[in-house]
Amino acid sequence: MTDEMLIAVLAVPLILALVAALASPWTRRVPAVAGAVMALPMAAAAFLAGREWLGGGTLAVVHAWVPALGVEFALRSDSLSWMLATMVLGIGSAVVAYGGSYLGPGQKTSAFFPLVLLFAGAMCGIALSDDLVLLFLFWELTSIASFLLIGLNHESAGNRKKATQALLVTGLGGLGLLTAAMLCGLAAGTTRISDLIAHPHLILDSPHAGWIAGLLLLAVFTKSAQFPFHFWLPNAMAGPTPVSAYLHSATMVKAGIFLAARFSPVFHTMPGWRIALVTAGLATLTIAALRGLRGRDLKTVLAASTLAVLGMLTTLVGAATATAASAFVLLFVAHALYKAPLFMTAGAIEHATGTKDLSKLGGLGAAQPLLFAIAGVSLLSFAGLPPAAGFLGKEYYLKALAELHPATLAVILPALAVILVLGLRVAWLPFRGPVLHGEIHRCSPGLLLPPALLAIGGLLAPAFLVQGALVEATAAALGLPGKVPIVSFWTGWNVAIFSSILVLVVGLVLFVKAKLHPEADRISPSDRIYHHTLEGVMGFARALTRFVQDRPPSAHITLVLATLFLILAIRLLDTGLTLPGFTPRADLLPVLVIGGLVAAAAFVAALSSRPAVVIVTLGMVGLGISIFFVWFSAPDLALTQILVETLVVILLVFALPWLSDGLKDSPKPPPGTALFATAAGGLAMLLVLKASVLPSIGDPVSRYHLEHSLPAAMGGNVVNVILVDFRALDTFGEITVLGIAALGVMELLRRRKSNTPAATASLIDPLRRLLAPILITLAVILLWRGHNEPGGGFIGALILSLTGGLAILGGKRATLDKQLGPRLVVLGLALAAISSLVAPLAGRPWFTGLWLPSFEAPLIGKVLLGTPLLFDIGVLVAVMGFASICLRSFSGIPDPRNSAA
Amino acid sequence: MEWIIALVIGAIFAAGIAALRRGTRLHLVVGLILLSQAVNLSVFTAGGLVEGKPAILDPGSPLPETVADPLPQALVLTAIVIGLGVTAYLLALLVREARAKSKRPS
Repeated sequence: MTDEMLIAVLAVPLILALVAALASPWTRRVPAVAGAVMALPMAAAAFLAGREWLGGGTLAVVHAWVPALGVEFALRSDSLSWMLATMVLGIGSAVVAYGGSYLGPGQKTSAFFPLVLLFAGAMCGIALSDDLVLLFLFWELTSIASFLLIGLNHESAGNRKKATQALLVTGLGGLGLLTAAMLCGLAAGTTRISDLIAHPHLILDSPHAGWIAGLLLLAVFTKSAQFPFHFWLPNAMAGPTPVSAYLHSATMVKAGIFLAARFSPVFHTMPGWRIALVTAGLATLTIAALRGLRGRDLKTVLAASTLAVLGMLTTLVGAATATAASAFVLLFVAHALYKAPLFMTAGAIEHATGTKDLSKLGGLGAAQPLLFAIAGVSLLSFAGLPPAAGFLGKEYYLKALAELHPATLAVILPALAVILVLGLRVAWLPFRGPVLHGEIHRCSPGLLLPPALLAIGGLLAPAFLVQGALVEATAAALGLPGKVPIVSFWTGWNVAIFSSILVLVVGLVLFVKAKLHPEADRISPSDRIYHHTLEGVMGFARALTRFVQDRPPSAHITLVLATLFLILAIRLLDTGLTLPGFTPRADLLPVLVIGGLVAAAAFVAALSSRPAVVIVTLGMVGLGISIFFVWFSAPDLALTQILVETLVVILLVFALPWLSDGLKDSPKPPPGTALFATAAGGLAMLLVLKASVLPSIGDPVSRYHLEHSLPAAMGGNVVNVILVDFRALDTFGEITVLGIAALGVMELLRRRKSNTPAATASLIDPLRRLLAPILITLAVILLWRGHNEPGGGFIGALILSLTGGLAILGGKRATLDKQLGPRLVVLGLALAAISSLVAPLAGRPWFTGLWLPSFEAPLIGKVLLGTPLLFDIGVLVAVMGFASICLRSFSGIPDPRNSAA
Repeated sequence: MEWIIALVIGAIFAAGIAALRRGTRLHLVVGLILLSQAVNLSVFTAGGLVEGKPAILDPGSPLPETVADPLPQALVLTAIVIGLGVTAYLLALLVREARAKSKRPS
């Protein structure tokens, strides 16, 4: 098998997620079919992964990723990773098929498929990553997917809070993992997991060893819901049942324990690591038993039993003996194969009867024999009875703990008896006894087949686990001393088997004697601590905001600007000042005159209280500056400045009715303004003078741009070449910012009901008819020639926007479709993105400009087509989108005199 | 000539600050626009003022001895367009705030 197998297994769920997202109109209508179809490739991938697991080899793939940080896209697999990947893909296949039938047609289902598949891909990523940073990314992706999937039932505020809680708690662990990764990089000089494991002393001998272990444990405990972070898992049951079955029982919550097992070869010699894992695991098991006994809801009880098993697994990793390692593998596999079908059965019961309340369920066995059979088989494994896989898991767990310290049995035996009661309550109670339910809804094959297959898998699994080398090879990944015992069903009359029988007897008696708890579920103490903490943080933020922001805006601005200018002044005093000489020249007279006009206009704009005067003088400032740009060799800047100025004036006019109140009441700025403004203006002047005698800020980058513009980027207009080629990524960011600003504008100015715009200004309409074709032609020409002469996408778009502006002033607001602007923004960004992706396909770095050979065309002359031109068109379209959103939104602003009433 | 431009920049800065300190909605926008224009002009001037030699190259002829620095120009062009975005957003925010205030019973 080749190493590309690794990428294939990772790619299957991710590609499926993309397909599911694109096919959402179809998956929404026929979810059951869609689920069944998507389950097939997942099952195939699970089969491949399972074969690798049985094969027992190691594969590795490394691609450079962030060489500057030493981070690589490194994948590597051993038996432990294949075990997790097989579980993720196999159970994922069943969950996809089940989820389609469970959720039924609708919006939620079409969101469920891509998210759950994305999650599956991320989990495979966790299993196969060989770089801690890469693993962190997949780790966070599972947290986010979990948040969104719990939030599928987002109609109730309570559910939203629970989804957020899961995200915050696991996110805290994620931060711990990232910090641990950075410390590993510092300590060992690498974040490659296989290197860290091969050379444990790299970490252990470094001063950060304790921190790394602690932070990794934080990640482990939050992700796998170990005490004291166990409280989020029962709340996560707010999500749909397929999500609970998959994420919050079979796979995601195991990611933490997987991480602990992964790093066991490094840390198992550290006493703190072992004590923390064993203690947290035992505490979680105990708490789960106590909580589960109080539960009345099917899923709450299942969640408690899941917590218990997670605790058992954590303890086993901490026990760090060869027996514990094999028990870990057995329990890991067995639990996934019985708990997922039990969750699915619970979902089917709810579907059939409409309730999850245990006190309202009973006697279902006759009506739903197949469901009862599935539950029964799963219960066999749950209770740890032969020949199910669960028997092996529990037996070796007891064996390992008895070896570790016999006293631990005093804690775990009562807990295990209670857990058995929980299993009987969810898998036996609803089916036996008097009939309590009303009318039964039929369960479709999609609800029954997936859990049935998983339950059968639980029965067949021992065939692979017993006697073979599989468990031995997988357990070896934990890197523990001693020989891993050969797994078999019968190991003689020992402590484990006696304990098992004791648990079984006590559990059965308890099940018969103990009644369901009369009250509904209560909030646990640690959950309360979480809420208090969250409230505290929020309260602090609110108090801080009140303290900082409870002042008029002008006071804020003064404070910020004064600080800035103080820093600049200190810097200026520090570095000294050399002033340029001044030689009066006659031909500079126009500059002097325009400068005087600009300065005067700026002061009038600032001090006048008449809106019309303010707007006109503001326009004059912009115009004067653009003349400066022309004078000092910046034609592109001049064009952009004029056009932007025009657009701003149009927007200002539309917004003016809402801006001008209070103008009459405060004719003068507050006292001290003259002094402050003069000081700041003087300082700015000195800074500019100082900068002008220093070497140009652009060298030597500018020289590079000038020299390479024609030969490398095929453009004579260096400013445009910088924008669309040399620094295209900046421009891409810029149009993205514009797009976001436009969406903000649209949302801020959205109106509840649209009133028809007043039909006015018929004078402008004929003018528009005349000008529109001219402006559009001009824009196209400017775009086309922009690479060699002044022009380009920004300028073309701004000219086109003026056409739209004229249309609106001519009363044609309706001609601007509401969807047009957002669509243009998206289209423009897409075009720009596509133009950037051509180069990687040709094996060149991202955003490299590629050109076709030039040819002569009639009328136009030499034609040169390339990706920077496409990029510039993208810029044009996106800026058009921005402008049309702004024009449409601003022209729809109602008059305050009409709406104030 | 740097002296003239520097004086103009200083004046626009001072005017912008005066406008901001007035505290009305209109002058908030005006002040912000003036400040960003002054900053744009500062960056542009810091790149060196060159008369009549834009950075537009002719494929036939060699690279000219003196030519305007294209890099600050490209930066300022980006800044002007971003300024447009910020101004539009600020205007929308102010209108929304004013409308909310007018609806609130006082």
